[in-house]
Amino acid sequence: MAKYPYFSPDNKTFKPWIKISLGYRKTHKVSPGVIALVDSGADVCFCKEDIGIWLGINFSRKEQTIFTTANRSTFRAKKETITLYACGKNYECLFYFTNDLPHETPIILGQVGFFDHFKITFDLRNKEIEIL
Amino acid sequence: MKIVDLSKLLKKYKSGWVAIDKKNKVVAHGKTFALTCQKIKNTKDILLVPASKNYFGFVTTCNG
Repeated sequence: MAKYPYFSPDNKTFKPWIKISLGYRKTHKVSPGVIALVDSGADVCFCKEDIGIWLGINFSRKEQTIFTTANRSTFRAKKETITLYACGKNYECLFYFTNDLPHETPIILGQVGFFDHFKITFDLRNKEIEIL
Repeated sequence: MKIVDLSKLLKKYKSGWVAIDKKNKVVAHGKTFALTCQKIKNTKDILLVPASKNYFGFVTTCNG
């Protein structure tokens, strides 16, 4: 199925969340299903570092990349390639790991890594996202 | 399409992670991602959702 419903976590906001899983080849660990925000405003894919640690990624000595948010503040993130299981596909995807993401948004699927793999149409009027 | 309304399920949780099964029941709650995963070990078709007091007001623009 290519259409996915919006989620409402609080009956006030509508989130373009989809269920995904993340895996790490080096440890063979695969996460349970977890929500991820489909976010056309993000240049790349992000994930909370906590989840990366659970996957078994060793973040010590990893180079940091600096990102800028909408209010011009900056945060640092460390990159690693992991397996993304989403929308019936799985592929190796570069994620940037940081603990500076808000708790309620632990995974962000951005332009490089997600939007370059699918054709995505947001349709909030009908409360659905088409992902082909 | 009908939205996935998690508001009733998440209402009593203000932090940590909530594990929801395919029947839309909360099967576990944990303080961290790792603890929650440990609680649902070997359970299939689970959705992990972060619990929060407030889900409104998120915006992104990120430049590498």
